[in-house]
Amino acid sequence: MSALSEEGPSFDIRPMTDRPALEAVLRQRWSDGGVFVRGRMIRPQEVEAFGAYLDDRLQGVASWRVEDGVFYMLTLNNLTDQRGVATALLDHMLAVARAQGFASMRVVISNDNWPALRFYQKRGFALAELHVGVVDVMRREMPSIPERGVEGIPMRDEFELEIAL
Amino acid sequence: MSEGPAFEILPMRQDRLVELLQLRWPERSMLIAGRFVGPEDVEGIGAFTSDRLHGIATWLANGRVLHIVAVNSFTELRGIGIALVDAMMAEGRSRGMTLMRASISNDNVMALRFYQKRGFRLTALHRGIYDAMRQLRPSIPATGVDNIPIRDELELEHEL
Repeated sequence: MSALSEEGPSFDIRPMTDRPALEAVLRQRWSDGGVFVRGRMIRPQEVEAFGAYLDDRLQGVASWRVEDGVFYMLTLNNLTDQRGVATALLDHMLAVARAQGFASMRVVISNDNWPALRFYQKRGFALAELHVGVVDVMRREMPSIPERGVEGIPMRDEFELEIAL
Repeated sequence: MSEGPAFEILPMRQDRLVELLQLRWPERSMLIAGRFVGPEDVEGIGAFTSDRLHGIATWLANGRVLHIVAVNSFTELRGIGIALVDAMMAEGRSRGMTLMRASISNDNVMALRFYQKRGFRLTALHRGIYDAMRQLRPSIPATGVDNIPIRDELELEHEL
């Protein structure tokens, strides 16, 4: 990796207009399923996203959707080993939600994903809800959703975290 | 399975437990399931090797529920927590208890990881409970691991 400043490189962040590329990322991320938000499953074709680019190459993706009047960031992925991608995309999403007049933003993560729980809490998010068993419910309809996630921990539940804007 | 050293797990004498825990809970501010718990309220076991104490696990026996208060390691040896939790499970089963419960604060993601890897599942989020309790006990710290604000309690359970 090239020498980088502490803050990391400056990414070009813009809306992802290449839907097939975006949906491919989300299908892989969600194992052909979706994410369960406010009582229903959100599918890849329903989300919008920003990409973070370096030299025109896609480094990361953040997807979002307004559901029931709540601004949700649904995924945040670093596609490379480039440091700082997730933080840059998160900062961008916060600015977008704020500019659209939302008072808060939420994210959804599964119970196994303790690194994400730490990441978001370190950046000011607080736990808002725990939905026990919703991943198990989704899996009945979408058997492709894996049984286990991070470090082999069974995937069953979702956390929602919230940050004031 | 665990490849750490074999620990001898022994019951802890109450006076020794109180002595060890008083250092860790200076103002009896350990909050378990909405109630303040002091060192004299708990039972405990220790993980020993050749007379050295490596860690302790403490719990409240509440009918058929073994409610874990804390699992503390004092040394860097691997496998202390696992050995202690396994021993607590065996102890609970031998007493005819049916459920083991752990309560952790929201900042403690390593405990969330640990318990879920040991087969515990999340059962409840008690949002804001630490904020409420801090009004009664201002000594409860505002921030915990990685400077994350301590606000909520997560509850996990494991059948025995």
